[in-house]
Amino acid sequence: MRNKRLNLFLVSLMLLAVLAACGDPTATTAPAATTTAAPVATKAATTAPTTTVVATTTAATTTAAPAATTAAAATTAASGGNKTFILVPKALGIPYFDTANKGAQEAAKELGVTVTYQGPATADATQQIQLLNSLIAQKVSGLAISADDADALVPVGKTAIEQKIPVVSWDSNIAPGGRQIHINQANAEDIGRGQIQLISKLIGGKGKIAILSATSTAPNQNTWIGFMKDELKKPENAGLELVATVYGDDQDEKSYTEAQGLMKTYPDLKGIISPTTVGIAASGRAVTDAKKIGQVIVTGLGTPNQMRNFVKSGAAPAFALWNPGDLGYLSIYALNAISTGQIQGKAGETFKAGKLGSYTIDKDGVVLLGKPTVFDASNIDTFNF
Amino acid sequence: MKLNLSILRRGVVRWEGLLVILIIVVAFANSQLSPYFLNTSNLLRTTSDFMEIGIMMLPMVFVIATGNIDLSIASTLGLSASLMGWLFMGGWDIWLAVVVALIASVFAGLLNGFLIAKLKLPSLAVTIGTLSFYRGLAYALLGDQAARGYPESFTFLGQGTLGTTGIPFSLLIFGGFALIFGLVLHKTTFGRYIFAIGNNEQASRFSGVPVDRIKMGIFVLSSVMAAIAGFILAARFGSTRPDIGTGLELTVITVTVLGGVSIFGGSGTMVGAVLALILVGILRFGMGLINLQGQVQDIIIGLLLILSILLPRFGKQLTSSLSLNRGVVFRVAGVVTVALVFGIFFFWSRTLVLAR
Repeated sequence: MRNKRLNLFLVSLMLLAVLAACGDPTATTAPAATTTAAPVATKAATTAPTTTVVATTTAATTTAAPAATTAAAATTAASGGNKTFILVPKALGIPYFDTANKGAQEAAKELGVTVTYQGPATADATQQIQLLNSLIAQKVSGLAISADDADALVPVGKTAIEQKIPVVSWDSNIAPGGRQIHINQANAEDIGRGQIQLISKLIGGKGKIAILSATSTAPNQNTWIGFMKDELKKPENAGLELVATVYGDDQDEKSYTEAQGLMKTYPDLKGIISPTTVGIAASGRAVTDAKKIGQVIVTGLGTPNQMRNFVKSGAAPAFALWNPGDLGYLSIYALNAISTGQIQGKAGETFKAGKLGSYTIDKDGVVLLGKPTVFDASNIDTFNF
Repeated sequence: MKLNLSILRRGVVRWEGLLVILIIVVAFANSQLSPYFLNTSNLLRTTSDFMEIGIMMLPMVFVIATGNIDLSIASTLGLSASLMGWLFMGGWDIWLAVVVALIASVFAGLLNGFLIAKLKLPSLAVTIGTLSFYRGLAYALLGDQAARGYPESFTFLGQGTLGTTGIPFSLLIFGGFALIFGLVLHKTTFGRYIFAIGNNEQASRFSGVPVDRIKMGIFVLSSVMAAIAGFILAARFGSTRPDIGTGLELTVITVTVLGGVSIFGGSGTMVGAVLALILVGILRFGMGLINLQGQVQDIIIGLLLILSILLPRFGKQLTSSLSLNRGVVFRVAGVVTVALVFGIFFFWSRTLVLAR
């Protein structure tokens, strides 16, 4: 009896010692931590070899690789080596943002800087702020952020700018004052109105439609939805009726359930617009599983690789997007331009962005990537992201 | 041969002593792992990330010490901040909105307290219900818009610092409250009653302790402090959306239990809770500085929490019956060796990464 207790106590002491020595981001720490935490999270995806065990939570494996590389990168930045820019997505584990990171890495190679990919575990503003505070403390050379909340990030953005760290927002903006430039993927108005025009064409101009969005606080989502509602007021869209706007929080399971709920609540629903890559894929699955292909048309913003099967099956015959890789690429070039003093983020300034050409900053400090592209059966196979 | 470990029991083996040792170990490890850790302005800036948790933790010590739990604090935070924001956007003076939101939080606490103290419903179930209820009310108020544009006099609560020292104003607010709560818990009758209720509620009731009134009181206190934390958080963001503070209740409870407040009620110290807050704060800050992902940080915090519940149970029995014999010596030596090997291996493999 006594010995059993003693053993337990000693084991706990040992774990404590492991904890104290912990903090090493390489794989060696992981076995010690995860053997005892095994019941906690066990969805192991196994592409990244060394840090696989670290990614035992539900986030995608791309989060594991950056954990190792960022530690090395952060220390080289500290030693006064080349510049380190941080690309911060809304949350980790979302393919759309992983693609943006690919573009950013391409820009990094061309410019000779290091770009590391760091984000919060969930699309939560509080977590993002904590992460940004930590990055500011490490005196990184620049921050490119896709904001979880446009206003909440303004104070931390201001702090970064005061500390001479350039801040650029992309995809989802930070309100002016908290960033120097915002890289907008396409004109918000074009995106919003385009979605309504797309669904109208697909369902024949008449019927009930619903919107499956991401989080209720995401600035880009709300701007697009605003333009969608405005477009619906036009006389040619009088036959369309928006019955509901629901939120899938950019989580696959929740989006799937919400899509199912929409179809159950509105049995005569004809179209679902999901302007988020997570939501549109989940809606496509939900419509396919409910055997309502052709009855309920799904459209929105999605990536070609995710949506290819749904385009071919007819669940989502057409959808729109831009290339998120280009977005990441442009953000890093913009960050570099500010960091090297080429521009200051003022209206009217121009800068070159490698293969994408040159861009001018408009009066609100916004740079437009281009127009949205519509993907359908005719062009879906020519893209690979 | 029996070792006289009563000295150890009073010092190191006491939970607070262990926390202090852990803080020193973690601080040392972090300072070795990152050059940015021991920077005063960084440390001060990071405290502002934890002050809302700290403010909600203070009354949680009371609640858990009585053997109850309050899971609705984050939703009360959201409701108060949303109500304040909604009134402000409707043209009200910000401070008037703050007062109204405070009063609303009192009612939120009264609802919790009434259901738990008077109707004798289990606190876990009640507060899970009010967690959803209050958060829903917050969404009903603000919808998907944000309250923004708070005047500087208000945002100073969350963003302001004391002159050029860089000490966040919210740190001072927390410090003040911590002092008051600590004194109440350990130096007043009210505090003793809290521990009495936690140890044996029936006996306390028969001894004349006003159990129901005290329980009502602590839940109201919990909601009011959550509202105050909400104002500070909204001030820190400069805006309010209805999802503000979602999920914070789990961190608050983690820190409280880590601080040595027994989850079964009846024991705990305010000092321990504050030390646990500091420990979690520097642990998260340090882990963030070496770019550990959020999920990995959660693994470590979770382990720490489990240990904090295990150790007091076994430590007590251990020190009362420990006798030095060969078995013990070998086992202790074995553990120390393993720990040393792990420690050396980690730091060695880390230098490999740096060299690359």
